[in-house]
This record gives sequence, structure tokens and C-alpha cells, in this order.
Amino acid sequence: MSNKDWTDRLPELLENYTEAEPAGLWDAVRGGIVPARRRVAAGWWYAGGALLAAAAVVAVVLLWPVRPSVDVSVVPGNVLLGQGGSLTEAEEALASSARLASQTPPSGAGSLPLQPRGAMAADASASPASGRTAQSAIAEPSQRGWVPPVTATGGYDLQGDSVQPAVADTSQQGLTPSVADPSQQGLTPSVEVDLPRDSVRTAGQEEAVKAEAEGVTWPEGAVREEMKKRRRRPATRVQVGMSTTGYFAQASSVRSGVGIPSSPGLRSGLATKSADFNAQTVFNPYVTSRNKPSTTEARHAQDMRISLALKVNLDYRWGIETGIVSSTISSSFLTTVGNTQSMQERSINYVGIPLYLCYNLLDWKKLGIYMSAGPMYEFSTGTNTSTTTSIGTSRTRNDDHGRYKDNKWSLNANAGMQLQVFKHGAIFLQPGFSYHFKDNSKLETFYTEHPAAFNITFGYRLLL
Amino acid sequence: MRLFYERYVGYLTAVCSRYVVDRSDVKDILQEAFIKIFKGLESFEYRGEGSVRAWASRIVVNDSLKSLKAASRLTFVDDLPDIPEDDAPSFPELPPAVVQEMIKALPDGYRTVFNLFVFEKKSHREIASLLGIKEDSSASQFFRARAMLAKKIKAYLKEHE
Repeated sequence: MSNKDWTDRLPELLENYTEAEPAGLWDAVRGGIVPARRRVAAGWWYAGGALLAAAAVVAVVLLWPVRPSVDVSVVPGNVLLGQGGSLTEAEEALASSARLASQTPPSGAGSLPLQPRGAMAADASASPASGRTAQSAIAEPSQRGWVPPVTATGGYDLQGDSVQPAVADTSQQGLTPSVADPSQQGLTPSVEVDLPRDSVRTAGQEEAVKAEAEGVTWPEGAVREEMKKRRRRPATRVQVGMSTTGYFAQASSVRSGVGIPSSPGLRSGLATKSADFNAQTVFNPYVTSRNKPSTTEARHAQDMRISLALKVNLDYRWGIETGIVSSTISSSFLTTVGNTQSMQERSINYVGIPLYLCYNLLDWKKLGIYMSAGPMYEFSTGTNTSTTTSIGTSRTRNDDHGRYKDNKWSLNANAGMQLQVFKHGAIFLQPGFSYHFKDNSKLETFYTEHPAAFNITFGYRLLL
Repeated sequence: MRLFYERYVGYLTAVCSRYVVDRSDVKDILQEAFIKIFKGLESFEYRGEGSVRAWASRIVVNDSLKSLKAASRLTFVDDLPDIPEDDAPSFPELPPAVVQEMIKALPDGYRTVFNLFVFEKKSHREIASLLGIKEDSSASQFFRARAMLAKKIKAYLKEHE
């Protein structure tokens, strides 16, 4: 018998051999299983706590004091100016507005009257030939808050490099001003112009402004007086329209004029519905003109999501997951009217709190493949906008950051892969599909244009 | 669960004891192993009695090896003098408990390699990979363990003649 043979007999010899179990083993095993169940129950509490903590973080972020409104100003020629815009530009815009209003023969043709937002719906359908006039003139400055010294778009034609007035003094025409005393209409003014205090004006510009202001129907120096008033206030804004609680709730009078038919990817400058004016006219710089069609090309994109997740295993297969998901969507709008172009780039950050039901498809060593699905509520936490406007050779750029309430509900389905790097931690990469429900949001975003979309999430998962 | 436990606990205790001598360590290892087994039973694909036994046994062996490694009990000495080849022992009537005790009496390194080679049917390459040693070391440890065990068996048989 060879040596190999005798060792081969050992397994057979000991095949049915048993030993007495260590004392208290069953109790220890049972004790190890029951706490595991308790851990699952505790995990629910942890998950609930984490959810509350996440909600608290989001609430703090959302309620943290920020500037009360966006810095969007509207100047003739549909140039949007923010804080980055110089005082001179703003003043020139105002002065130009006055000059144009006074020099142009009254025609009233084509311009949509500047209306408070509440009245916009009715007037949005007014055709250029309706004979109604636009209020490109400056209203009574003393009517604080209701200061439409310039309209957003109505009242100007961009013809070549020159800006032509669209409307003359309406009082000379016996036409009813479309902007009435807001107090009479029960409306609150709402379009603002930001005027940085530290802007410096050159002597030549002073003269230009003065010269332009001389032709205005206003009393001499009214523009300057108005500007001085605004300069005294930090981050002053001139409001036109009706204010709302929305962050970007101004410029409701924009988007009048002639538009071209909408087509996929392109948007005409024609106002569609008044409800859209609120934010879209700010977010989407629809430059419009009385006689020239404007087109706006919109592009939307979504970045990779970053997540910190907390997962509680209910059993070997099933689990519940929550956490925080950070996502960013971006949009760009390129609007062209004649030789005027306005490019607005906007990114909105969201923090979402998901509640997913997870199912483990495979656990192999430290690698896991799973599926998850469930709802997610996303809070918009910040908005960055950058607007570049060029008229002829001149160009202005304004960057701004703010917050606009644009919270979203979505349903998500994911198939992910995770690598356990610690006993209670794993990194994961998770392609997914999400559907964002329609809501009353005024923004045109990736979520509104592509409610059903694929996404990819990268993150770290705490395992309980 | 309790039925499963009662059915296999004796066998699994014997398997674990072949690798880990300390009784309290055996208890800890078996506790963790049974918890894993119960968690994994749901996903286990049953292919007969033998498959369950082999699967449970594999879990116990893996946990035992982990425990030995964690405790740094595995020492593999290569510069020991060669033990001369001995004749194969004959143990037709040798009680299993005696053989089990003889195996448990082997040094940790010898015992581990011997168990993996004989009972788990691992090759020396696999053993080397599992234990992080050279393949030659595994073979060397095994032959020493075998010679030592043969000597013990012969001594036992001689004593009980």
C-alpha cells in the first residue's frame, strides 16, 4: 500500500465522524441571528434619521439667506444686464430709451404694450397691427417700484446696427398707455435693473447721456435723477410688471414682437402663454423685435449625479436605500435677432432625496450587482447663469448666482454595480432611468424637455 | 434552522476542530459560519444531501483559515530536518476519534496543509495560493505532516497490539 493510499483513506474514515458541539453554540448562533434582525429594524430608524438629517440639510440650504431676487435688468435693444453691467450702460440704455421714445414718430405699430403680468395674457395676442402702443417711454419716476423706463423688448427694432424706436410718446397719439398706474390695477411692479454703485462714468459718457436725455419728453435731468435715486440703494432694481414669489419673476413683458414658427430645437420669440413669461423670459433670453423674427436655440444637458447613499439590507436580496443625490442640469439658449445675439448658459443644482427599494442580483466577493427603483424628491439649491449679449461689435457678459424654487418629483429605476471597500461601505456606479413629473415649473430645463432620460450616478454607499 | 443546525453541527464541529484546536475559537468560528449558512441558505442551490454538507463544510473551513491567519498561528518552517520516509501505517481498526486527535496534535502549519490536501482535495498550488506560501513549502509541509502522522499511528497501533 502506498503512502498516498493510506492518506486517501482518511476522509472516508472521518466522513461520518462528529464531535460534540461547543457549549452554548446554538444560543450564540441564535443570538447572532436575532440581533441581525434587530439591526435591520434599527436600520429603519437609522434610515429615517438619515432622511430627516438630509431633509434638514436641504432645508438649511434652501432657507439660508440669499439675495432676494435675481439681478436681471432689461434695457433697450433687449440687452439683458445684470450686476456685471456697468452703470454707464444702464444709464445709456435709459437715456437711449428716452431719446428713442421722443424721436420716433408715433406709430404704435407692432409693439406689444408693456403690461403687468396679470394683463399680459390678454395682450399677448395683440397683433402688431392692432395699433396699440408699446410703452418704451419712461414712466413717472416718482411712482416708486413701477418704473418702466425701458421695456424689455417691445418698442425697439433692431435694424442693422442701429436701434430704431418702435413707439413714440403715446400721449401724443391719444392712445391709452398700456402701463397704467399699478396702484390702480392692484399690481405690484416687478422688473428690475441692477445698477452697481461703483461704476464709473467717463466725461464723454456723461455728455452722451446728457445729450440723449435732452430729447426726452421727460423733464430735463429726469433720467439722471432717476439714476441717482437708484444709485443710493445697494443692488437697486427697477421693477416692471407683477412681482411674484419666484426668484426670477421679472421681465414679464418681454417676448412681444414678431416670431417665427416654433420648430424642434428652435423657439420663436413670440410669446406663447403668459404664464411662461415669469421665469422663461429671464432664463431664456428671448430677444424679440417688432419686425424681425427672433430664434432661440435651446440645448439641455445633464451631468453625472453624485450620491451618498445609505442602504439597509432587509434580507439577503432586498434592501431599502435613501441618501442624498446631487445633480446638475445645464441649458444654453442662443437667441438671434438680426445682428443681435444673446447667449445664456444656465446650470441648476439639485439635491435629491431618494427612497429606493433594492434587489441584489449578484454578490460575488466584494462585488455586487443590484437593481433599485423608487421615487426621489429633488430640491433646487442653486442656479448659475451667464448671459452674453452682443449687438454688433459690442458685447456684455453677466454672471449671476441665485436660487429658484424648482423642486421636482421623479421616479427612478437603476441597475448598479458596487464594490465593497470597507465592511460597511461601498462605492458604486449606477446607470439609471428617471422620469420627472410635470409640474407648474416655469423653467425650461432638461427635466422639462426630457422628462424621461437616462442618467448615471456615482457615489458612496453606507451599508447597514 | 434548528433542524439544520442539529443535523450538521456535529460534523461541522469535527471539521472545524481539525483546523482549530482551541475550543473557544471553534465556537466563535462555528457561530459565524452558521450565521453565514443561514443567511445563504435562501440562495443555495440544493443538489442533494452531499452538496449541502460540502457547502457548509467549505464555509467552516474558510472561516477556520481566516481565523488562523488572523491569529498568525500559521508558521511554515522549511529548514526542519527531513523526516525519513516510513512504511505506510495500517489502521483498519483505528477509531476515527483517535485519528482526529492525532491530526489535531500536528503543528498548526502541518495540520492546515495536511487537512487542505487530504480532506479538501486541494492541490499544492491551490494551498500555496490560499495560505500565501510557496508551492514547494506546501508539499514539504504535507510530507512532514504525513510522516509525523504515520509515526503516531504506528505508535498507537504498537501500543494497542
